[in-house]
Amino acid sequence: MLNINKISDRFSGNFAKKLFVYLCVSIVLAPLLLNFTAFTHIDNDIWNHLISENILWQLCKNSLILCFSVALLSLVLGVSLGAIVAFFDFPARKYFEWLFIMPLSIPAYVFAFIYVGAFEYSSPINSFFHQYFSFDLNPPKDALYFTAPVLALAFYPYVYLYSKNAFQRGMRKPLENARSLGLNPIQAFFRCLLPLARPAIAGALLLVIMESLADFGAVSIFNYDTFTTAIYKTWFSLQSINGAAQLSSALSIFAILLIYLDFQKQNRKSFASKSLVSKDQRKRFQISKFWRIMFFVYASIIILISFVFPMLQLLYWAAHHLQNIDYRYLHFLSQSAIIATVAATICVGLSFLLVLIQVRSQNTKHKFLIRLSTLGYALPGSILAVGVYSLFAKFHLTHLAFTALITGLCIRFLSVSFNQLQGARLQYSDRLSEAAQSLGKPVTQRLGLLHWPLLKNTLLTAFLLVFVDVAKEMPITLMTRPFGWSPLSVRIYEMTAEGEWQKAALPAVFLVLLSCLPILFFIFYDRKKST
Amino acid sequence: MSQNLLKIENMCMHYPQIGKVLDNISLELKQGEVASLLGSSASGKTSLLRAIAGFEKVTSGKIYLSDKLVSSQDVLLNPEKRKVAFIFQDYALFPHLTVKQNIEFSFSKKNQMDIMRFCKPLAIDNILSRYPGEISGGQQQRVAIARALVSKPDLLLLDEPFSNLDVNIKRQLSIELRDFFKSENVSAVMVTHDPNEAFAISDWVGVLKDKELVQWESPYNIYHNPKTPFVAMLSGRGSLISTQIESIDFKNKTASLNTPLGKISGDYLQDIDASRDNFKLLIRPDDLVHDDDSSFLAKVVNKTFFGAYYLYQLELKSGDLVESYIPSHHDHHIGSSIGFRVEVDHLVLF
Repeated sequence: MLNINKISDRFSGNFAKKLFVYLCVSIVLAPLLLNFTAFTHIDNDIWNHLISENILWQLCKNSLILCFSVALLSLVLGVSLGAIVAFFDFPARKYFEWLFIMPLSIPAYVFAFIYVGAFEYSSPINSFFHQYFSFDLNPPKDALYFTAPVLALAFYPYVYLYSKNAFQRGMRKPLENARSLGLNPIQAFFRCLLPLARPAIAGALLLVIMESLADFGAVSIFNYDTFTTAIYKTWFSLQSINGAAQLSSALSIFAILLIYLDFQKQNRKSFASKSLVSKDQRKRFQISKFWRIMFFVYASIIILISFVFPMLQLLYWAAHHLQNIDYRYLHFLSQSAIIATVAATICVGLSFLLVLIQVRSQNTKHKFLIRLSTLGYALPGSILAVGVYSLFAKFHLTHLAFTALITGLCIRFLSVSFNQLQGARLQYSDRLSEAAQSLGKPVTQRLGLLHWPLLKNTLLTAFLLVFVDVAKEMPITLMTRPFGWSPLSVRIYEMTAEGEWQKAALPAVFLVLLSCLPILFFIFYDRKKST
Repeated sequence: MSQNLLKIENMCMHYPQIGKVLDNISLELKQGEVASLLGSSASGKTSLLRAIAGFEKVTSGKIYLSDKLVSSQDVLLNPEKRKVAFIFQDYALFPHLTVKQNIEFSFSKKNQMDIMRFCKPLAIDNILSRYPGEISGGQQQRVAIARALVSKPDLLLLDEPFSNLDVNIKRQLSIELRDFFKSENVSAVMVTHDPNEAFAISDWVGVLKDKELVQWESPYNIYHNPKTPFVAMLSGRGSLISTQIESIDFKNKTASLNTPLGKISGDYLQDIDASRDNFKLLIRPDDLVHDDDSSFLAKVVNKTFFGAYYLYQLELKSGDLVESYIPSHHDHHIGSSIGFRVEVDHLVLF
């Protein structure tokens, strides 16, 4: 006899969730697995070359040092700025609060060519220093100490955003508790607040590390060889797509390891400790005039080097090429906007559901599978593009170029929205969902009445971050775009590939303006909500 | 005869990483009855509530609500379909909604009612426009209770609902709730650490120890006829003193005992294995009545002031320690000897 309860439960609950999770993970892993199949044909010449001349070890070392340096610098910048904005009042704090997000609108490769171009030997800035101070600012192109800070300037806003959001979710009470237990403010910050904000900060750092690992544009401008540049060189210089796929698989193993370590740590700690944040908890601490000025100066310096100066330099260059603006730019702009909007909407929607399933799931394997679906962020875009293209070719779907492009971008950037939403979801207790359930609300109503209102700001932030990332993304867009499409990032590539950095400034300015739009919308929305 | 609202049969629950959480639980609750679950920390009280609510799956056994199977190894009816409202220890109020919106959360277009009927008795009618973050802990708890009640549940589950309230409000609210449950014919199961709270509000009390339900009876029987020393000590203060049986009448269930307090006779309720030589007799503080004229003397070794009375700890000549409630105008010094007599209604032997 059929057990109706049993069957309906399977279809309404766990079965549907499992199906959804397996589908997401399969779509993400399929291109990666296709890369792994490259190991069926080992190219001995390439591996002998990489191992015998110690190149592989040097590449690994370079990549690790770069990741560590960028993560450390981003951590210091992001957490310090997040903390001063969340906890203290200083002149122009309201403006700095959103200005710190603005560097996200500038791609890392644009940052790199701005700083290289601005400080190269014949640049006006270098000439000025040379003439008046007998000092050359010309950056040593192969030096880590120039690559890491520039990447950190591009990536610190992730850490800033995540940590500021975490700090603003009611840290006053834990801080006061720590103070009452004899800790001074600095001890309380490091021993209590920072560990409490750890899930959010760790999520942001994971993004920074993965971005650094996958970056090709910026490191190649600085001539700093990493694992990713080796993948590109193996493909383009040594003409071995098989070897590139093998190296890429090795990189994805490293990414899986990173995700696993983060997952293990998060899985052991429960951060869902509170369900209410009173307005009192969000009040800022009073500080002396000296510290107000110090924080203002610090914030101004960071904004100057991470946004104002790069933008001025871009505008300066772009002003020399204004005659190139024509109706084509409308196409470049609209194509970038369409791709970014579609990819960001899908990423945020999938992340929303995956995070809700992951947080309530008691199955560790299930949780890890979900985490695995965010793996794409660590992979170089071009390798992912090849994987996605191979996948579509396998099923004779190459005519669906736009779908392939969006699939590749979603695999690449799902992690951005997922980490943002996971941090926010862990901030409120499961009891809220259970309370709604016990009050008779089915899953659809719980989504609308509970999770949506509590997560909508974070959903908007996640959308904004993915939108900006997708708009800036270059390799996947370049390789899988539909015929005739030429979004802004592709246009920039076409210019920089010819070494015409000043000409690339014009599409770069358009790209930055496009990325600024969702940021400004978010700021406007956030302010309106506050009032 | 009213039907069973809740019936649990041989229910077990395991968590993959923790192991056994509940073992072989069986109980029944009728419509309009209120039950409390007592037990030490991590004994499985909250897990049992969560299993009844449908938040956790049972490993074996069955749970019925109004004679409908809702949980078994193969069946798990979703919590929102059970008509069981859960009041969490941490309130779980929705921070983005006002108090009124929280209370009306369960309403649908077809299902609305006058919330003031619940808000006035709970004294939250003047804070309806505030957000949960703007009200006190006690008020939050009342809002959580009102929110659960207006959803018109068949069964109310309360996980330590009075834990954050001060004594006076706790006492007042527990009496009001009991009257409210009775007048509305609401059934409820409440988890608590406080036996007095459980006795005041409940028709049934269950005691959990090491994941098992060791006793499920009326509050009177839990206090006066505990089945194990654990239940005896959990349900109130008491001492266990060494005893030998002098004579026993199995037919009338009466016995005469030789104890350090002298010869004590009375009826007993539980089965006694007469082949054993030694037993432990439960003596509650109210079993010993202070009497200056009595020839039974004991030394005061400690005393605690409770306003109307003292709790005296007394050492008998045998070295056994017993306790006694004595009106506070009898202020005896520690070290002095005082007289008392024994007034034991039932013999509770272990």
